[in-house]
Order: sequence, then C-alpha cells, then structure tokens
Amino acid sequence: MAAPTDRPIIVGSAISKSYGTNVVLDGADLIVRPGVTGLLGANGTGKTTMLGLLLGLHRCDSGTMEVLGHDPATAGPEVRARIGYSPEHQNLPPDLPATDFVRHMAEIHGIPPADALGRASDALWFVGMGEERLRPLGTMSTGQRQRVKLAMAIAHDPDLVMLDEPTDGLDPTQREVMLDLIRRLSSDFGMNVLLSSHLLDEVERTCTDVIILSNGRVEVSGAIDEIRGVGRGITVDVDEGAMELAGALRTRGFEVELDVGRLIVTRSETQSAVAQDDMLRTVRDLVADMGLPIRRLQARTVSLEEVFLRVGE
Amino acid sequence: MSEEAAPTTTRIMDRGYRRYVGERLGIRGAQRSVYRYTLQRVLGIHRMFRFKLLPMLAIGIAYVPMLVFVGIAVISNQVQVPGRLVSGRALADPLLKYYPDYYGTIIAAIVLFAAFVAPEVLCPDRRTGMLGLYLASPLNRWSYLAAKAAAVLTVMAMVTVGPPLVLLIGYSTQGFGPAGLAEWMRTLGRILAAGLAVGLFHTMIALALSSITSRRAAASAAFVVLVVGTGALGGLVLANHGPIGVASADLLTLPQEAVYRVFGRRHDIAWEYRETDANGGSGVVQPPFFEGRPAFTATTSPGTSPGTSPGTSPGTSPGTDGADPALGGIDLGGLGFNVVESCRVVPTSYVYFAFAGWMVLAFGIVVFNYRRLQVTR
Repeated sequence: MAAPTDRPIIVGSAISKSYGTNVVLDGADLIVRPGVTGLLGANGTGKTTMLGLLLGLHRCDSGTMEVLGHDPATAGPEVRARIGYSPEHQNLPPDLPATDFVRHMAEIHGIPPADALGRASDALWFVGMGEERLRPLGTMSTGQRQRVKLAMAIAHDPDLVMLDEPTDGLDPTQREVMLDLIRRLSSDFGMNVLLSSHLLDEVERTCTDVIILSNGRVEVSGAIDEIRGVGRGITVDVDEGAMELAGALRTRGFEVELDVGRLIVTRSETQSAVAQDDMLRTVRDLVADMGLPIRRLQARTVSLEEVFLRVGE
Repeated sequence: MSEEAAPTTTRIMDRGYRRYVGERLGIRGAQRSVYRYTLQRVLGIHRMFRFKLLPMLAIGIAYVPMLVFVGIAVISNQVQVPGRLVSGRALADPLLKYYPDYYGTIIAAIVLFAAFVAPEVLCPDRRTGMLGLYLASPLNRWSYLAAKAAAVLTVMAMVTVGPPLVLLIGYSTQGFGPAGLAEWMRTLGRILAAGLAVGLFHTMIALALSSITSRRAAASAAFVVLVVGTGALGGLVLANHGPIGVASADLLTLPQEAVYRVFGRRHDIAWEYRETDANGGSGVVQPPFFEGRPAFTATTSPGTSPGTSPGTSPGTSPGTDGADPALGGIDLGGLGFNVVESCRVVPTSYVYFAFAGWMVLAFGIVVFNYRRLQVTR
C-alpha cells in the first residue's frame, strides 16, 4: 500500500538526454508528489522520453533520478514490479486475447500464476472490458485497447502508474470514462499516477499536480491550484454598463481588460500591495454604487492553458 | 434447510478490482512466465489453427521416420523369410537407422523448425511494443533473453532430443537396443548430449540472425540460406578434395559431425574407391556399424591391423588434415589387386573448435545487438 506521505515519489535533477544531435531533455529538474500528476508538454517535448527514463528503458546522458526511492537505471526487480506502465502505442500482439495479455503482464510483474488470471479479470472488469476480455486485441477498437492497456498497467497492483497519452484516440464519452477511472486509481486505491498528455483540460480536471515540459526543461511544476493562482485578480460579469465600470475602475488605478460584458480586473504595478480581499470589496462596492446588474463577481482563475501558453513564449 | 442456515452460508463475494497483498515472485517468476508464454506462442497453443500448422508439421517430419524405423523393427520380429536361413531381424537391421545417423534423416525438420521458431520468438517483440513492456517490468534485456533462449532450446529439443529418445525406447522393446544396462545408460546420455548440442547450435545461430532484423521472414530466410548454403558449398568443396577446413564453416554438417563425436564415432565425408596392386593398401571392411553391437570384420591382409574402432584407426590423427588413406579396404588378394576404400574425416578437434567458435560468435552477435538496442516505445 502506498503510504500517504508527502515524500516525493519521483525526484530528478538536471536530467539530460539526446538522441544523436537531437537534444530531447536538457537539464530537467523534476519532483513528483503522491497523487495524480499530469506531465504536460507540446508534442515532441520529451514526455515519452521522460517516462522511458523513469522506467529505466533508457539511461539519461547526465543527471540523477529516483523513482520510489531507487535509481530506475539500476533499480532491482522489487522496485520495477511496483510500477505499472501503459505505453502510448497500440502495437500489441493482435491475436492475443485481452485476458491472456493482461495475465501475462501481471505474471511478469511478479503475481503468481494462480492469482494472475483472477487479477487480470478483475482489472479488465474494472476498466469496463469484462464482457470483452476474451477477444483478441487485434479485433478491438482504439478505445477498447486503451482500456486494456490501463488494465494491464494496474493488474499487478502497482504503487505508481505511468500512463502515456491514455485518452489518445478516444471519443468524448470514452475520455470521460477513462479520466474517471484514472481519478479512481488514486481516490479508491491510493495509487500514484503520472499521466502524460498534451491535452490541457484533461490534466486540469484529473490531476492534482502538474509538470510542464518545454524546450527540454521542466518549466512549471507544482499543485495545479497554486499554479493557476499565479495571476491573481477579479472577474466581474455585468449585463450592462461594462464600459462605465471599466472606466471607474481605471480611475481608481486598476488595470482592466474588457471583453463584451466581462471585466478582468488586476492590480497595476503601483498597487501591488493591495490585497485580493480589498480588491474584491472595492469592486463590489463600486458595482453597487453604480447600480449595475451583476452576474458574477469572483476571484479570477487562470486556466492551465494560459499558464501553458505563457511557458511556450 | 432451516431458516437460520442461510445467513451463515451466504456471503457477498467481492469480485471487483482490489489491491494485492499476496506474494510477489520477482524476476524468476517473470522469467517463468515469459518461458511458458513463449512456448505456447511458438507451438500455437491457445492460438488459431494456422499457428499450430508449422510446428505440427516440423514435429511430424521429425517423428515419422522414427515411427517407421520402430515399425520395421516390430515387423521384423514377426517375419521369417520362407526358404531362407536368415531371420527377418537380420534383413531389417541394415534398413534401420541408429541414433547418430538418425539426425541425417531429420535434419530438414530441425533446420525448418529452427528457422521458424527463433525469429517467431524474438522478432515480434521488437516489432510490436512488447519488448518495451517487458523491459519496464522486473526483467532486463538479459534476463528476458535468457528466458526466450530457454524456450527456443526447449522447443528445439522436441525435435532434436525427442525422436532419438523414442527410437531408443522403441528399439529396446524390440531387442534392437544397446546390450546391457550400462551401455543403455551410456546411449541415453549420448542421445541427450547430442540432441541438446544440435538444438543449442541451431538455437544460437537462429537467435543471432533474429537479433539482427525485426522482420521474421527475413530472419527465417537468412537462416535457411546460411545453413543450407554453407552445407551445399562445404559438401561441394570436400567432394572435390578441397581443404578439410571448410567443414568448420559448413553449418549443415557441423552439428551432425558433433553428434558423431558424442557417440564416439567419425562421420565419413567422401568415400573413394580405387584399385591398388596386391601389395598396396588393404585392410578392413568398415561399414557403418551400429551402436551396441560389434562391427563385423572381414579378412584382413597381412600388414594391416584389424580395425578396432574407426576413431582410433591409424591415420586418423588430425595432423594428416583428415585425408586418411586406406581406412578400409576389401581384400581380394586372390585376384591380384585390391579395391581400396578410403574416406576423409573431419578431425575431431576441428569439430569441437568450430562448434564452440560458432556458439561464441552467435552469442556475441545477440549480445551486441541487444546491448545497442534502443527501446523507443
């Protein structure tokens, strides 16, 4: 069982990896805390390479890393048995029934043959492939294979599950189901999940932490709530009088972005000492004084997309 | 059934996914699973019929001649040829193949099987993403390869050890077996050693080729071309009195040569018959003799020693480069000339060195290719 401590499950520092002249990772520092962590990055920024390094599939050129307290390049079978991995590719033996595949993978990770079949079935039922567990992998749709890969990654009850683009090729309904399953791995079974994705909204909705890779480095890392709190401010929606409100706020020294009926109010440089609560009160009083019909007044949240785009600049 | 009994016998069975608290087997368990899974894949167990076809065919080719020989032995014990003094047994004996010679009969099945099995075992894992999944587990590439090689060797033993073993048992029940328990046990040991040697040889060569390409068909074709090609070339060179050393590169004959050495015999490459004058070479008629029974000796000319065992006959020392003259001859002394039979033999040291050399080379190729292999998915 994963102990619910805050000790990081993955620590990496100054990780570099290049293939020939192609520098994929260039001194990335990485800390993954328990829970569900999203590994974000544009295509080709080294997410899969990072997972490969953490799994010990290849070695980094320089830098050190620890997964579950061990260096993956030299970690013993005991550590590697506690990691579940679902690769990005769909390239699995086509004529192999799902249950045989998952069972074999569970055995590879140390589950005795007597228990492996039962655990394979349970895992396949968990991901919703119970009825179809005897079908050959080659006859399955992308969505079904994604679920089989998830079952394969968890059949041996790992402490850490690494999922590479687990929603790739899924329709919106299947995606919701998959993300819910991933959340349950953490909430119901206490597993730690490292989820690689290039889809911001699914990381935003599934993960507690996020790591953003860009240009071979970890640009942003930490709890999603903290990261989104970086750009503080207030959002006000009014049905009318938005222009007037904006003008009034600007005269009080705030910076205002106006988008139809929505105002995003942030502190100007000269006001950096003004507290968030004071700002909120000021705006509220102003709206009340002007008698404007208000729809929304709340602390501004920055979407992960904004953070992500800012990193990419 | 009383009403109270129901609650005690009824339980809610939680069949859902849950965490695992049992024992974990570690690397040995992983290797056993790879071994078992690979055997099943290769033999087509739990797979569609078309995957069973080739292994069934190869095993059939390997065992059918054996059944025929045992059948001849069985029948010969029932038959008395009318009007003759000889028994069916005596007639049957020249027809029967004995253990080392049996490999010559089934070499096609062995080569075919090795060409199919080893690529099937290694190539798809690299072509699909299975190798990446294996290496993300407690296995590393060497423990993975060891399990895979063991599976290939096991499957190969089904055609290299199995048939001669059944032959031994079949012959023994019909009175054609080795005489005495000690001799029988010795033959058993030789069959096991020879079968494993042949199996290992083909396993390693085929694995080496399969480690070069991830295309199954290419590896299979390369193996057949290499073995049959060197076999044909080597045979051609030796038949034309070429240097005996080419036998070291003859991958078709080399494992068979090793089998003969395990059985304490030599393998005759090319027999020659030539006439000599009455005082020329002559000696012993030395037909291929059978394990466990004495070779029959014809009259010998003066000046030559009766053949004891071919391996120890004069002139078979490796230093003569294998061109042993006058290993045997038919004495037709009364006619004033002799027909001398002689044959060339690959020196035993060549066989062992070449065998070991090829094994080391094949092992090196596998290690080299898997060491530099980049697992990208």
